[in-house]
Amino acid sequence: MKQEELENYIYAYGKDLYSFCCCVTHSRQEADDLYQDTFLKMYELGEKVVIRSNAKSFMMSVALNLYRNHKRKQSVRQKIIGINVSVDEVADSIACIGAETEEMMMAKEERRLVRAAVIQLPDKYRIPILLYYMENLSLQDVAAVMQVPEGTVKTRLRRAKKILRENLEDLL
Amino acid sequence: MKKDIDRLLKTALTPMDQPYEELNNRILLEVKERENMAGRKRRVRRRIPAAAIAAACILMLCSGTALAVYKYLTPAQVAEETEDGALQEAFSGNDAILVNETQESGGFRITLLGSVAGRNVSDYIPVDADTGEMEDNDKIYTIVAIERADGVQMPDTSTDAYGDTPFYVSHYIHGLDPNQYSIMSMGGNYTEFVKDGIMYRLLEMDNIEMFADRGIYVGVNSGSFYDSEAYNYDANTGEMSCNENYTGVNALFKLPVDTSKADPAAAEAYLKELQASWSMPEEPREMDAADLDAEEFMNRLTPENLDEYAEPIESTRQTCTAEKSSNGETLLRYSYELESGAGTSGTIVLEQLFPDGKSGVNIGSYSYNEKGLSSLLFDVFILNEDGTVTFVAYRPK
Repeated sequence: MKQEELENYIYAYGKDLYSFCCCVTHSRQEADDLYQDTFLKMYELGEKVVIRSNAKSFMMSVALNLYRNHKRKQSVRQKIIGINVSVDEVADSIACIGAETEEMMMAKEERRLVRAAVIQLPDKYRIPILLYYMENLSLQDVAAVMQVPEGTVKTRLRRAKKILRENLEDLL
Repeated sequence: MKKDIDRLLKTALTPMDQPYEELNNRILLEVKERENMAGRKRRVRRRIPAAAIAAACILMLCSGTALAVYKYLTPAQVAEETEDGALQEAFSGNDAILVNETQESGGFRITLLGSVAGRNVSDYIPVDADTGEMEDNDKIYTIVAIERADGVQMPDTSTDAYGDTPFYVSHYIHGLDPNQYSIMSMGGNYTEFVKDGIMYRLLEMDNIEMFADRGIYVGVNSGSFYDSEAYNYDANTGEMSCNENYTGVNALFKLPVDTSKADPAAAEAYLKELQASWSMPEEPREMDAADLDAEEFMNRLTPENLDEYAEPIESTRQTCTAEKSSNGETLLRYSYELESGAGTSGTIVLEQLFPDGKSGVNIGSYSYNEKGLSSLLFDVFILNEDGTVTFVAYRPK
């Protein structure tokens, strides 16, 4: 993969990937590292494979594999502490341009609450929710990225939504 | 106005986090440096020490087992690849079982490399999501290598072709129905990667060394689930064996676990707890009215009364695209999305839908939300006379 090609991917998918990294990791620093490592890995792999039409799914697979490998060697207690930090950081990152109307503030608060609830989910529920709703991957692509059967994806989405409905009942 | 959870999630999770410019510049700078160093790096990678070449020649003349030792990563190296230092150490220790047995099956060569078990032998320690407490991590870890018998490299995990030929790998216990007792029901998961064209799967399950006196198997069959066609299970003797008429992969190994590790009392207690957990839902809750309505509806629905109680959503009607899998099954693909945002996509095996090959109707999976019957959607497949399959989503009338 040439640098120019990588630049195109960063331009096309950078925001999608970064949003995913912010929600799947537990600190801004981890999100930055995962984001950077994903594109560097894509660059490495780009010398060995041809990235076909579904580049976004491929990118998500790379990100998820890196996240899983990284998580296996991290102290779990550090990550639990990191959850609260990331919620505030996510809130700060939501863009605010110009004066906010009451409606905009309510929408912003709603986003903050929903994202906080999603971030609190365990990995097996959080990841399919992010891949399906944030990254707009099809169920088939989510299954391929997560390397589980489609039926498992459906079950996990259903259970995740059940938990979220209970935690966000004031918004529904 | 009441909001739907799907709309809420789609709106709230719209990507909004913009990576800052310095982060992107850092990536591009790193790439540029790598490109500048590329020539020197390639030369280093291609250099193969003469001693290694000589050793390879010697080993090529040896038995298949020795070839396995040379050709494949060791279990410790597999653990190292997954960046699990504790597991790497465990596989290097005296408790590890190194097997290196190869079977050829369904066009693939399957090698059982080794196994190790114990409490906290992995760096990865699961945490209870509710309490934050570390869970008991008494597990067994087993590694198999899978490669094509014709020498074609297995597709890397990052390629589109990866996953086209899935494998179900699990431990089984002599005397327990493999359809019920396997990786899916016994605290299992797996990690997988491809290196030098060989797939390595590290599977993890509840530590079943307590069953050592009964006998433990490791099975590898084609597909994403246990395939009862792949193996014969004799409920009288408890013996598992390969079905010789099976056309896919159905390797079966005996894992030589030290019988001194058997603990019949612990084994019985484990089985009681496991079976008790099956009779409870994973998230125990009372069925509310919405659930009862939808479940009752689906329970009394048949292909014969389908049009009496339900109506097709014509916008979802489609002819499934069909393709053959590597083990000869016909895979049908379908997908739809309604204006409400509800929808699905999936792949299903024709031979499982219509085992006798006769034209007809099959009612598939269904979904509903807290609104119950009014939100119920279910899949219907119609095998036509010309062999095509029509998919239609239905809803109750």
